[in-house]
Amino acid sequence: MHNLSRLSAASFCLASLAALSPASAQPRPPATATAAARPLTLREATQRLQSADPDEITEGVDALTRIGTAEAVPPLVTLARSGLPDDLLDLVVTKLGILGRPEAIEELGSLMRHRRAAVRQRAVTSLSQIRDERSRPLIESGLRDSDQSVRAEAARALGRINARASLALLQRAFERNIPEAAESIGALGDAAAADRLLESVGRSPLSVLLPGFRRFLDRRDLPDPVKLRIVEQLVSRSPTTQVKAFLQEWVRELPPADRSRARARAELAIRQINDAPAPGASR
Amino acid sequence: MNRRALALSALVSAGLVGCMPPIRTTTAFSSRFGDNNRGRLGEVAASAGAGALADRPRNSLGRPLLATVIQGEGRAVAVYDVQTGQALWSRPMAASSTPEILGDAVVVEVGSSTKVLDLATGAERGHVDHNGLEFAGADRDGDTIVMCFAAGLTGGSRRAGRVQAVDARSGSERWTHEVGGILGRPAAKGGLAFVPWDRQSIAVLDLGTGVERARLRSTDDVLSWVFASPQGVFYGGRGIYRLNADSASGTRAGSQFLANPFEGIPGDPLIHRDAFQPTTGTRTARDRIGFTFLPGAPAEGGRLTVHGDTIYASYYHDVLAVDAATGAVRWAVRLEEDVEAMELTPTGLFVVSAGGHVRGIDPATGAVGVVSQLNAQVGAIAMDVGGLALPAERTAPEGSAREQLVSLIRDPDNRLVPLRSFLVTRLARLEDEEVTHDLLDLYTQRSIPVQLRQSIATALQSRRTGARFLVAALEEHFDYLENHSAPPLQVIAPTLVAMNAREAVPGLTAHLLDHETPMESLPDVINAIGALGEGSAVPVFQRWVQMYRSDSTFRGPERVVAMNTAIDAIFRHGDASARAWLQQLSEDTRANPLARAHVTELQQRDASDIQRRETQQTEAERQAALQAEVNRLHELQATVPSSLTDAAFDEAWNAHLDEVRECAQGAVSRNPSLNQIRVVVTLRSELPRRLMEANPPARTAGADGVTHPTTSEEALTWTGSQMAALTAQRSRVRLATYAPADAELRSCMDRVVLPLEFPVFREMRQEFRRVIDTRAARAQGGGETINGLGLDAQGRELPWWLVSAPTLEVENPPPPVRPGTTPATVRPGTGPTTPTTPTTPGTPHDSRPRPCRVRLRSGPGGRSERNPRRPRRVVRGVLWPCRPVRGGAMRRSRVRSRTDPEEGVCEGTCPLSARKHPVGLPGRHRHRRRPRVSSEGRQPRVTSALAEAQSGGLGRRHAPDTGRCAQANDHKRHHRSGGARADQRVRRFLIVSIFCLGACDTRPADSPTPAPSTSSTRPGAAGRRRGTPPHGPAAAGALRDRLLAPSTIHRAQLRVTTGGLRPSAASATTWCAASSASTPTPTTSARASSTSSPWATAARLGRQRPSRPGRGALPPHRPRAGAPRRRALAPSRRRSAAHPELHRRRLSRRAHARDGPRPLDGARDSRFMRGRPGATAGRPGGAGDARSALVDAAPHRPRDHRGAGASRVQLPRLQAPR
Repeated sequence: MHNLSRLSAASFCLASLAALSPASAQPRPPATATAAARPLTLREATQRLQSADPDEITEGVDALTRIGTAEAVPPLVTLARSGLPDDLLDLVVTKLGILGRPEAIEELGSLMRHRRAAVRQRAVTSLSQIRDERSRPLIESGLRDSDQSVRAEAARALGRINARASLALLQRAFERNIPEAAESIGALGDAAAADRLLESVGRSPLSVLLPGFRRFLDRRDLPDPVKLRIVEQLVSRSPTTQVKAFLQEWVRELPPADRSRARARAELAIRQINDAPAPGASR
Repeated sequence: MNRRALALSALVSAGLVGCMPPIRTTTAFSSRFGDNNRGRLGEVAASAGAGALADRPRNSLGRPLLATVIQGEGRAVAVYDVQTGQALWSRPMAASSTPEILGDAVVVEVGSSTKVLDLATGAERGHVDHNGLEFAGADRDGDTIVMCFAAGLTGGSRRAGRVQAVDARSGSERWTHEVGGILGRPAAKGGLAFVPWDRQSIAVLDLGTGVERARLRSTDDVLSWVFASPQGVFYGGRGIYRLNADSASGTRAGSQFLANPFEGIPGDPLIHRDAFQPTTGTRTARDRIGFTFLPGAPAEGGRLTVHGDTIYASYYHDVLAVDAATGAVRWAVRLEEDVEAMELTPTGLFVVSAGGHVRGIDPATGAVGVVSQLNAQVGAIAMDVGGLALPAERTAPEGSAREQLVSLIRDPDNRLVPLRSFLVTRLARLEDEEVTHDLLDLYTQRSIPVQLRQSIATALQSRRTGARFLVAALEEHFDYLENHSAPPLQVIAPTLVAMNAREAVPGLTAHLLDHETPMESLPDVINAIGALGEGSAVPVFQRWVQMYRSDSTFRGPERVVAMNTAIDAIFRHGDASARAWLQQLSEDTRANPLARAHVTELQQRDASDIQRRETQQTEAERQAALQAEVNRLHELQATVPSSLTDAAFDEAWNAHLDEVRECAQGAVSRNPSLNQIRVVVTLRSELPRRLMEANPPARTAGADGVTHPTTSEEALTWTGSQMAALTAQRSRVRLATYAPADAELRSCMDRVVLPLEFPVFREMRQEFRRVIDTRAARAQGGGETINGLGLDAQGRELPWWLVSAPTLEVENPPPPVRPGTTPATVRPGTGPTTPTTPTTPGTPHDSRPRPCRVRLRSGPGGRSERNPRRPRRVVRGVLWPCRPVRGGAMRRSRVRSRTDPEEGVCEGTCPLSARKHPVGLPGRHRHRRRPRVSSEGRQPRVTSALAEAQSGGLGRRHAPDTGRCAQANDHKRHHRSGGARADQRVRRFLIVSIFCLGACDTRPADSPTPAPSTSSTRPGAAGRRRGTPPHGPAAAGALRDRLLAPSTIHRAQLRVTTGGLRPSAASATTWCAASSASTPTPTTSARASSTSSPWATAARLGRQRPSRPGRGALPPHRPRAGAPRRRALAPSRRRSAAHPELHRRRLSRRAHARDGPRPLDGARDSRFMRGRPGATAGRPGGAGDARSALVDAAPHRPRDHRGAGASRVQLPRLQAPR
């Protein structure tokens, strides 16, 4: 009996010690696992940004992106200004665009002057994702950039944000050898813009012009005569197989019920243009 | 018959004359002909004359004409009327030179001959064969055409020339000269021909005879051309000379010369057509680049001027007018065609283009108008358009001269790039700030060639005005759409910094943040922002560096330069927080490693700088402390007297008078008849030499025994230990002798005296004597007891004993006066005065006058006046006085004052020590037989004066020399003592010294005089009155004796040439006085009596021939042939010299064996029985008498208290009493 009591006391002590053993001794689950299990709060995500570990910073940036509120922008802006490695800065710039918060416009505008072209290009993209009128002049400045990728992205971005006010600038950009501007012109331009673009046929490659014309032809707001003129001018100026393929693709995608004159003219041109490339015809 | 004969002879004569060859004279180009003859050149210049500018053509037709070679197929020589553009004639011929219009003829080279054509018709009048030479040119005066031909004008080994005069009407030759050099295009005027010769000379020949009239040769320029104009004859190369009499100088400076103000123009053309460059008859670029000017009338001062002060230049189709004085561009115009020929007339500047357009340009404005059209492709053009009027319709160039220059610089013609670069430099010289804008605008032109762009950048950076344009340019940024490029920041930024344009900081900052700013321009931008914005730019840099610190944009050693520049700016202009920020940057592992390394390097550099500064400061403080300690040590060392004064001795002695009294009483009780007790205490100051070292050692041995440079701490420690050791150092009684030789008295006194300690002193040994006058005390006391000497005048009780210490107010007897000497002035109650500097009462050190050190220097002293080729050698003797200073230190002070460098200068009073041996004086070579001693002049320990004086053997010297420092104070020791050259120096010094003393004795009566000697025993001092010293050669003997008596030379600065002593020294205005006593030797006295002049004395003493002043240096003494050589030392003496200590001991033993135990044994010292001091004064006798006088005076003169000093060695050998 006595031994039993002593044994039970010892068991109790062991149990107590086992119960008192610190839980911290157990390995801490990784942060990603924690984040996967529970979304980080704004404060936690902000704290992660201050880490020296790139993974933790990435985790914090993702968390802030998921939070998506206006409060998530300042930590990202501060992070972007702190001097990040290339990959992290690219990530932050991208996330600022994903956030789409107008609070990020100023920082993205300053990043438009970053010496690395990739940052500027991402900044243009992010700016185009922010539906704010203040973005447009910043995107327009991208057309003046010395880097071609930035200029191209800016031209495309202007089309994406439907910046009709930038049409003249896009036309000038197209004349200054920014081919991406043609598509935006097609998306934003009117009949006059279409005519101006048609004048480039023969001077600029069709591969540059056709996306713009396709955008013109796809638009429902353009009247049929304008589209008919586009088709006729294309066929008359460049009756090539490239134009024929372009028209075939466009007609194929038209609804069967479409009975516009432009379609008819296109189908006629498809029949008239030989498959063999004309001698001396430009691409 | 006669008529027939006359006619026949006349016919024959005419035939002979006609058939005679031309004169081939040799009266020119002779190498013996004198060139640059001012008179001849003046004559020929006057013959050439100076007149008014021509207002009409020079040709015989009186019409403005133009001779040219029609280019292309069907080459021909043609003459055009410039006014109408019509051809007078045209003759097909393959001309190979530019036709020249000479009066009524045209001269042109065709093939291998030069043709003379008629100006009006083109008909050939004659021709001159070249004979293998090349036509250089021709000119005409009157009916004579002078032509020059040469070989080697364009190079080659053959150099030959020919000048030939031909008749202008017939083309027949008149005379000719052939020369072995090249000749250039001549000029003719005033019946003279001016022929340039070998690009260095111009021969002036008489046109009629060919005789050379004058010749000009340039010595500092190249003479490439000569031409004659109505204003005279001019010649030159890249500058212009006027031929006149001044040309005889042959130099630019001596002639009337005008430099080309437009030098540096591409191609570096001559200011006039090169006379040695033959023309080709075709179009050449050389014809399109050139200058033209009209010589002007001589201006004031004979300055050469040009008409209108303007020189005109053509460069292809650009024509410029340049100010002849400043080189500033007056106007610049661009023509439509290249200029093939250009001629300036008083009415205008006329140019002809290749297309045959004759244009007239207004010289004042540059307005251009077409005169005529020749309707031919012309080249190789010669113009004679004097008086031709400018066309009425002229078009002036637009804008100012600056704008015209800019217009020319913008010219896209690539042929003109060198000129455009040159014009850029001219444009940059303009003060107008708009020029900065122009240059900036030009720089940004895309069509500007790289070479020109670099010139523009250089010119832009030299600008100091127009900063606002640069600031405005900063507002431009790269714009792809507008096709704008970034401004040239690498040019603008440094220029803005040079202009200190702080308003440019915002614009520069914008470009820093602009990603379009080229990477290579960033360092300039950052530096400019930092320089102009200073601290305010630091935050901008911080943000910028922060942005890119981890970015790959600046990775790489080339790209990181900009970031490092920004870091530098932050580091330089930032405060502590900025540096802390940089510290964080350096610790950021994500930051650019190169930038981090740069920060670390900056910090280390800064830390090292700070540490270096702190170290320097600490070291400076430590050095200051060390210096203070060393100064204290020096002061402490300086307090150590050379000898103890009586006061210092008595300070310890008087404290034990009671014990002495007891001993004296005991002696008196034992010997009641005892009159006096004499005590001689010999102190020994064993002052280690190391304690007197003034400075810490340069190296110190470490614990491992390896020496290292002494650190400041070690030096401080060393100084402290030195001071402690020196403070603890005491001198002790080495020997005490008493008279009478009472054993009890000795025992008693030894107990009192031997334990005494005294302050340390420099000299090793010193004696003090004290006399206890028991007789007087007994007489005064009336019994055998010693009570005292009675009462003094004030009623105070006199002590029972009498000592010689000056601290006791005992009236000492007057000093002995030698017969024939002036008695000293003795002030009542003060005892005899000493001729020394005043002593400082109470100070333990000796403040008596200190000995001088003598330094003799010999060096070059310029050139002799009589023979400039011969360098004069000057011996300059400087006696270095050792003035008593505070603390008794002996410090050197060099005499710097000179009243007259040509005369001897002596001043001050400073007796020469007997221990210091002056350079050159007798006894200098003793060191050959003596051990070396230190340069400090300490007495050799082993050969004391006592031993030397008493040895009677080796090395005995006569009295003045004994006890001296055997080694002279000549640290350099260039010459081995005893050698011939050393003797020469000795003699030289003797001459100098005697000369000096002679000069010193000529002091004026009212000059300040030091205290005279009270006991002078110099022979020369006899009968001398104060202020009236002996003069001239009569005092030579005295001077010589004074010289040999070393204590009579005083502080002096001497200068004398070896060529002889200057008699003017006798009128030296400074003074020197003898002050101390010396004992002449019989030898010197004898010499004195036989001396008649200082020259003779010097010669005899120096073993030199007497030399008269100005006859050159006395030759050095050379031993006569057959004279016995100096004997070598005996072996025993060599041993003695090698082992001085053993030698001293041997001497001591020898003296002891011969003279008894010690000379100062009181029992045998007769002096102890003589009674009071001064008892022997005035005793007759020679040297011994003098010695007695010194002995008697010894207790009363501090000088004689030195135990081992000079006075001691003059003691006679003491004899034991009988």
